[in-house]
Amino acid sequence: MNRRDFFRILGASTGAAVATACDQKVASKLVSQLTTPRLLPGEAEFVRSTCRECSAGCGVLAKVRDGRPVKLEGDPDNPVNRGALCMRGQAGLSRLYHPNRLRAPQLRGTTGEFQTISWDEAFAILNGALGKNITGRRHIFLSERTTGSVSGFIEDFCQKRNIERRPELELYSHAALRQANALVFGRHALPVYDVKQADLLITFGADVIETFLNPVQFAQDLAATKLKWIHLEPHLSLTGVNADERLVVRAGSEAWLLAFLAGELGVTAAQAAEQTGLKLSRITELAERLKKAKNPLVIAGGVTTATENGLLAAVLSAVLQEKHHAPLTWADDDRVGSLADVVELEQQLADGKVSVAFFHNTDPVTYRPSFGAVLGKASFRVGFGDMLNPTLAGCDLVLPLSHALEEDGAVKPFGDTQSLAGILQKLGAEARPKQAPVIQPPGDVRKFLANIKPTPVRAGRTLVITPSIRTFDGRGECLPLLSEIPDPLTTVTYGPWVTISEQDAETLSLKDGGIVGFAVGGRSFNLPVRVMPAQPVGVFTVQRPFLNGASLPLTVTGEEISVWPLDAIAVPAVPAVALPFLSGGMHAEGRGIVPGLEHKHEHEHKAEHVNKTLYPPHEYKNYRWAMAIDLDRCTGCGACVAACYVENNIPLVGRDEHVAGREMSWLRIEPFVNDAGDFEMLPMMCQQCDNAPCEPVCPVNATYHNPEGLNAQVYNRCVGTRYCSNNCPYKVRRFNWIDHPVAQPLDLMFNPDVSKRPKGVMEKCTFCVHRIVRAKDHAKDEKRLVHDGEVTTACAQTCPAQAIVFGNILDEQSHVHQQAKSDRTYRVLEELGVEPAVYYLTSRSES
Amino acid sequence: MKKLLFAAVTGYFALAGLLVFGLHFHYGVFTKRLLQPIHFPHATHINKVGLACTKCHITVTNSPAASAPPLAVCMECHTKVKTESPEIKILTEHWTKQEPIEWSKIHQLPWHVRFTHKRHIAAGVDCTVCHGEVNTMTQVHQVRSLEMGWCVSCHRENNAPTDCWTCHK
Repeated sequence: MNRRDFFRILGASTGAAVATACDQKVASKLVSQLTTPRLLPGEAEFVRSTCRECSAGCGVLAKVRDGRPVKLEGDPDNPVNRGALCMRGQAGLSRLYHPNRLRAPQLRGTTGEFQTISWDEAFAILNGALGKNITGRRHIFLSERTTGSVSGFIEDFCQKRNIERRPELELYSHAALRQANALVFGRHALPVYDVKQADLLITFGADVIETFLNPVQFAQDLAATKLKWIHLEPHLSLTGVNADERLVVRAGSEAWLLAFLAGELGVTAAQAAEQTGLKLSRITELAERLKKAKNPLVIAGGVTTATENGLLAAVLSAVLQEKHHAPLTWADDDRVGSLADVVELEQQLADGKVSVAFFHNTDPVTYRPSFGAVLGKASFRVGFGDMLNPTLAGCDLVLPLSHALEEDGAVKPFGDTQSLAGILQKLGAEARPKQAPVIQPPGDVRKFLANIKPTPVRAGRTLVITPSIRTFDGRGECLPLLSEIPDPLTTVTYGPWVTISEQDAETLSLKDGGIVGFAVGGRSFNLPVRVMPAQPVGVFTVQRPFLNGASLPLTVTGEEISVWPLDAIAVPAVPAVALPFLSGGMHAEGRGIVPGLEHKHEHEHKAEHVNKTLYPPHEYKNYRWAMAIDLDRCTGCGACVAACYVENNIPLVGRDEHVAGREMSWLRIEPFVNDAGDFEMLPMMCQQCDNAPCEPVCPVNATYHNPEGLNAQVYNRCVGTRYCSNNCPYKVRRFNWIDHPVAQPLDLMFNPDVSKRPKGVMEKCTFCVHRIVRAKDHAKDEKRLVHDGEVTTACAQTCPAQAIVFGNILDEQSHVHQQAKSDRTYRVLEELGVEPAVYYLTSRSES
Repeated sequence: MKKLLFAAVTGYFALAGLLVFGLHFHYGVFTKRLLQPIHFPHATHINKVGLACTKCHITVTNSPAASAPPLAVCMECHTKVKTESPEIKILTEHWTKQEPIEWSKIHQLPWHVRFTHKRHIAAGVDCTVCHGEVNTMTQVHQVRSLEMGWCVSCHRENNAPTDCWTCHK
């Protein structure tokens, strides 16, 4: 370098340094309110609401800080979910702050573009459209599943304004179950199954802990009881791997086995074995156990009831429920129809019989693209919703609905939105008392069974279409958090993908990310594959939202057929894509990360192998925070992951960063599979080790051991050497490679108790230290120590199975202390001597 | 030539140093007076009227923030006292229009700090330790740096926790 270059560089760098130092101090404001506020500064209030990310309708409490909800938690007083909340529910809050939310009424102008209009104009246009002469035509109102007062308002509005209220639309309507229940029990509705009272549970295809009816309640009850649970399914699902026994049957063959178990249709064990592909001994054993059980419960649902034999399977399961006197209560959703009703409406539209069509929070166009083609034949289309979807985008007038939380005064509303009840009220509707459910006499089951024969199952490759645990029927696709959190079993984050077996991958010469081509529902798809151990050979599983744009044919009950022959599968000559999945490998290679039978001896004799140390042990005064995770309860559903993201302002980094291995989740679920094909889901977060390997390698002391046993991370001090991450045996530290800006107004969802981390610093699980500080502050006011159960982490709070216990391990009465002492307890990579503070309890079946 | 080069380099660094110090004094001085919407004399209220800090800063003993007093507290007296003063007229106008007052915030902590007034008051720390002799100020200004070193020295002297996570969030 010569002298001139030296000066040039010196000048440029000094100039740049001075320029960046010139940021103005922003003078913030201190506001004198008019009167004393209801809440102390920094105090949260909780607002009740209902989750609508699926049709279960869990109760939620929104934690509101300064008029802005920052987190949803399950409502402990709600009988549906009793304080827990799933992944979808946790992510549901971002709907309130979604950048795409409609903020004002939109009217399609003459050019075809939407134009913002006022509510007064909107009401005038609506009243005008409803007042027109409609000879030979009818107004129709199509809505999602509604309950309570909203349903009453819709009913009153439809009657007063002479509108036909169509059966409510849910993609997963479980119409076969409804018809079967009408036939057997006289109720065209879905039951609430009481798993707690059963001693044997046999589920056919029903993904009870993912999306079926009330998944949170199922997970809670199944964790709390000691019943034997056998799950039969044609594919590989999270529900299946959590059952005590998982039996793989041929897709569509379940009705044969159910008929044998119910002693109906003259089906023999040999026939059932032939159709399902199970061993004859397995089937007779199953029948034996069903006979011996005192209170058995047989549930058919999901992919089982969405096949040609689906209605028969549903009826047979209802017959078995009646036979064994299963205690059933009924959900308030008699008005839900099926896709057959949408097909009927499609025909009415095509025939030009529809005048004004109302669509409330529903999207038939996505489920059936042909519906979109005839939507324009209605004389006027009105959509109610929070964001544009293909159906709303085809409407003439779109009215923005407020979020359920905004209807309570505690939350500042966004934009010029109104509640549906409020809109209908202004159009003349009044509240109506709840209608009594329709109870009819049961139908003739004998006659039904006398006139039906199950269809034989065909051999060959099969496509199984399932709902998604993350986005359900696709309604969660617009929430970015749900794409960031991995699908629990496959650990794929940003889809789409098709799950295939290892053997099929070999036959088709495919690896993860390789493309398969197939046609279904009148459309062809080229999707990347994810190769999964324990996936049945010849079965290809795809989640329904990845098939949007296809019109899947319907069963006799009006549900989409979920099982398809896939003989014409192709491997197109296109390059494989980089599929973002987060699991580095599902085989523990004998390391005993989740101990199996081969580690039994080691586990029982671990007291003899205490690691020696030269250093004195840490001394803790009042608190040593610790966590216990019961793997027998944990289902791996990922609710904790979502709760952690929202609670701790964890950035969403997107597909490319995931492919590069730079995910930011503080808590992840690691699926492990053994040679027998049994899965174990392991939640993994910072283990808050006593002898933490991350601490001594930090050159600036940004990570250190705090007096309560936590491995603290001070973001301001961190210079980003990443030594700590390299030295962590659990790989739970995350580095901010870049800044992750958040789209407005999603930044309002940030938890003010937790820092936003800038780029260049390391971050990780803190055991929700802000919650600990708050609890200690409260305890100090009362001059005592924190009680057990007074403080819990976000992950433990939301867990449907209550698998996570958090507390002070120095308190011998505490739940976490009791759990840590259990003989099922082990710690991951205990032999390293890092003394982690997260205790895992192995499954009963394996220790 | 060598001399010239030496002079140029020294001059360069001297200039850069001056610039940095200049910027520091321009932006970094914490005792700067800020403009307020109403000229509120703390001295008069404390010394002359004899009000305690907690009379107006009502949340300081039981919450993290001291918070600016709600206007209703001001109006307890100022519906009768000094109603003709031009400054009080501004206050009355806010009250009649039901508009909150936005004061310029003088004592600011960075976003990553978890600070609570309540714990400090409960530990018997006098307001003046951090805020200075507000009773002598006609216009409040910052007298302590409120930087980490200053906080930690007091925490050390008084045996208060010095764990980073006590204050860093």
